[in-house]
Amino acid sequence: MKIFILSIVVISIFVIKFIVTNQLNEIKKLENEIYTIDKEIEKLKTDYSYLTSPKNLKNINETNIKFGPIEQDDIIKLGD
Amino acid sequence: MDESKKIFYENVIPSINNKTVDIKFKDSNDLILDEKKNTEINFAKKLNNFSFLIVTSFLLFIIFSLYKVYFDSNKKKNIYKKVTPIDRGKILDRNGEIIATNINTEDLYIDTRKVLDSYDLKKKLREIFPDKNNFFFDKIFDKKHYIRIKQHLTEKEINELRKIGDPAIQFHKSVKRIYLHHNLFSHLTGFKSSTITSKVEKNLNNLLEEGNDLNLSVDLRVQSIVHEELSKSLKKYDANSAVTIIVDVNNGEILSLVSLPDFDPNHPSDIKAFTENNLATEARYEMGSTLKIFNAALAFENNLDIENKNFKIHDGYQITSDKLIEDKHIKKDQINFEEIFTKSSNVGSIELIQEIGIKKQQNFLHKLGFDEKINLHGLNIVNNKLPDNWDHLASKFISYGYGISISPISLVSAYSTLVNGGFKIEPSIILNSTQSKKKILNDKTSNKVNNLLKKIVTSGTGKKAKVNGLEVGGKTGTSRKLEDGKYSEKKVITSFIGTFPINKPKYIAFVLFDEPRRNTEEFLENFGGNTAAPTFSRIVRKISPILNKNNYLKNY
Repeated sequence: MKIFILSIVVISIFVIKFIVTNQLNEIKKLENEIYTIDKEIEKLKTDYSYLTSPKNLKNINETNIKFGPIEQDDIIKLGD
Repeated sequence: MDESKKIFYENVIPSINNKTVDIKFKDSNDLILDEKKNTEINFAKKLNNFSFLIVTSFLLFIIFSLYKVYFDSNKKKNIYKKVTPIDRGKILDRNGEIIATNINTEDLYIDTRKVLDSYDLKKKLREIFPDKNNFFFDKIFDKKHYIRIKQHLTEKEINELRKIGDPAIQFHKSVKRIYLHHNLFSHLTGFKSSTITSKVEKNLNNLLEEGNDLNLSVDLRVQSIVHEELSKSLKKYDANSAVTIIVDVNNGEILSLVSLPDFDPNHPSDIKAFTENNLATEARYEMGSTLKIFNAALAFENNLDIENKNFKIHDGYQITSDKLIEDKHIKKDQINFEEIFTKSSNVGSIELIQEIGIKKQQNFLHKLGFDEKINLHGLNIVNNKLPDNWDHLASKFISYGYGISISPISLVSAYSTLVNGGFKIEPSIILNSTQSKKKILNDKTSNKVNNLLKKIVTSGTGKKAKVNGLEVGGKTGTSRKLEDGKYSEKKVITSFIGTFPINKPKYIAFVLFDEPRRNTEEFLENFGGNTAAPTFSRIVRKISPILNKNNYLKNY
């Protein structure tokens, strides 16, 4: 009887431990996936930052749009 | 039959012969059986305990072995910790725009032992990497080895190399630190290569290495405008170098810091030594007339009754036996207190400091922190150089900005105190890192200084600093450069330090040119008023709408 109970306890511990380990592995896998996606997002953000840098926007403006910068005297206060 | 011959228990006598006889007993009271039973039961109990021990030990052994085999091996793989590698933190501007970040790249390696056709491979590699000389690949294919050819390949290079399809070509994953805006923030971020780091990358390395992103107080758009305008002016005036700093006077946050010449941190090997110094923090200058405003503040702070006094300047001032200080640009015999600053009179400044006294001057500059090292977290700062012997002569020189060498950041810091209501602030390049500020000057002093700065721009030497639609105040500065122990007649440092909006200062902008040489049709000599002041105006005209949009100027 003692052996039986002990065996049950041991097997239960093993099963729980096994499940937890599997869950941890799953978390690890998900974390790796998140990391990969994060890296991809970072790369896109970096590309976006580069493409929208003032220097690039200036080049685009000069070749296509030809807008001038807003200067302080362009801003009219309500009191004026 | 004789009774003695009958087989009774009492007649049985052990004999010496070895004959054995089977004897049967009748245990009518189960005495022998009980005894035997007890012995067997005891034995069984012992056996039971022993078996339990054996089985338990065996189970424990199995548990331990399985644990070792299954779980421990997983533990070694850091299953409980985040297994993803920590990337070096990004450097961002105050609005979260990326300034520096890490990107994954690939390095090219060649295993010459696996090469199929070395002649063909060499030829193709030369086409892909035309910057490598002919001998480079010959040398590589001379030996049998595994060698790195190039770090951080471009996408185009990777595609070209993959097309070759030779097994000798190997790619290894690599990480590169990139600076998206090239030169724009070079004097703030510094650079990080595999061997050397500098400036913020070096001084805040621990923070970045732990994967923390770092938000600088600078604004990408402001920095871009300042860099563009300053570069144009540097070229226009043919100066050796130029500096601009823009600081929030209420919390010390630096919105822009440009020092020219600069460098591209993406290519550390191409950086020339003379471009590496951040002149805003690592250089010091005799600032000239920009320091005169401290005489006025000193007079206001001490409530000296000299604001209505007139000062004779016609004959100049014989400061040493062989040096006469003159105000040739002022066509007046005498000037009032206000005109000392609006017309930037050296003679008037000397006479004023004589009225005030050396000790008060010394204490005032000490209070403003000129003899303290600024703790600008992340950047290297040079100490100001004050006179060893602060006597009458030194005091007079200091009154018009000579005999004291200070860094631009130190000047900006002291000016911030003058215009922000008298609060001493510590400049900072890290966003939201400002410390508590200490009030060291009266409100009245600050207000009077602001009025004076406004007059200098509206009717004094700083007219070219005017910005349409925005009221600004500031002070011009021109100082002769020291050359072989003598002050040069031609080489000058020109500067302008201005604040806006002047009715309630929020920002200070400082512009400096080292040795502007080119004289335009407009003027024959270079002064702070015709080099740095118009540059200040152009910069503020463009950045103030950005600052306004962000409500930085909402009180205006």
